[in-house]
Amino acid sequence: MDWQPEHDTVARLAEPVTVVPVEDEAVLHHAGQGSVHLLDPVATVVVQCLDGHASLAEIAADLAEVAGAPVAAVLDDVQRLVAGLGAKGLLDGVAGDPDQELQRVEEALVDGC
Amino acid sequence: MADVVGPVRDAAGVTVRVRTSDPTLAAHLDSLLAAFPVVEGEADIDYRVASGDGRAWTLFVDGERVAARKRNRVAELLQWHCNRSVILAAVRRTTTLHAGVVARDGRAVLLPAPMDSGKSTLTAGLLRRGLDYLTDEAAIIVDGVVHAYPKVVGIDPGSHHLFPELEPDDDRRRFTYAQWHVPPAVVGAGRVAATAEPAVVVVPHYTGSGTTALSHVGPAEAVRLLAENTFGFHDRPVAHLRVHAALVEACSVHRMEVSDLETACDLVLGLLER
Repeated sequence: MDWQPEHDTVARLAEPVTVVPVEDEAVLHHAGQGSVHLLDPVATVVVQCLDGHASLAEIAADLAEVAGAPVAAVLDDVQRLVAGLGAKGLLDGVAGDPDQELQRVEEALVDGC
Repeated sequence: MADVVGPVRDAAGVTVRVRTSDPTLAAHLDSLLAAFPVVEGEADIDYRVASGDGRAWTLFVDGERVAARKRNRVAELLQWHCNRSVILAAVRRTTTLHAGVVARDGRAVLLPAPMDSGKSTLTAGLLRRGLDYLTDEAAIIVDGVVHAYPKVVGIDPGSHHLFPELEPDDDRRRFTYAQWHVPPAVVGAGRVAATAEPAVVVVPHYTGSGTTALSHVGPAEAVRLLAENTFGFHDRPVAHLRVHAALVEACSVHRMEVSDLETACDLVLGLLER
């Protein structure tokens, strides 16, 4: 996945999404889609930080400090994760790759003609 | 001839009674339900199996005709209807997994899997090793505890060679079509347990060749596997996922590729001893 959200993107889980923690991992359920998504321990921590207020850069800085890891690397991981969750319709504030969204709209228009 | 009326039995919260005009068939059908305790009162479901011309037998439920079958398939039809009724009732109030369950010392091994994964065969293999029986079909979870649905153990034709000692005698063969229906005590079960605490989850997948081996499953993936094997999951998904998460936190969860039954049983027993 090449597209990534901007550093100052603010996101939170979409309204129909419920988080079910299990040990240090979690399962997301999207009520509208009826879909289940699995989060590994790192993704679980990131998702817990998506509160609709903090930017991805701020989240990455906090996590990097806790983990003792380079901020740039953590930010890259956070952006990739958020891009993936956004593409699945699990977030408010991130809809996924804008180019792919545009392509989907164009395909829908063609199909409708 | 007057009907032979069986006792009212409690099949995991659904009370059933069977009546039929044929004493031999009546005895056979009651043997299929024998692991369900006899209770007082009226039955929720009143089964009647009636012979028409002597070749076709008709199943009536609460006086309404369900279907007709040859003599060797009517028990299978009743068993199917009973399973369906019990599971439909259970999913309204509980998380109910499509799973076999056996136990030792009150600690349960859950074997959730889709049809044709070897779930019932592995359940029967573990009963033969003396474990207690809860079900080979539906694990009913209430407040974190597994409740039994101790139907007869189903041995599919592909597994008959693994259990030659369970081959029906001539009397039972008259009422047997493809799957053997064997009372758990006959398989070798220690006893029928009413409840057990979840301790181990093994998701079997019969391969028929290769190595029989276990692999540990992480917690989120374990929840997904349980969700895939939950009756009526999409009716109350979040409630079920919370039950699954609690189960996963209480158990060790594994996948198992199965090509050899006895090795598979050894591996499951090893998990129980940890």
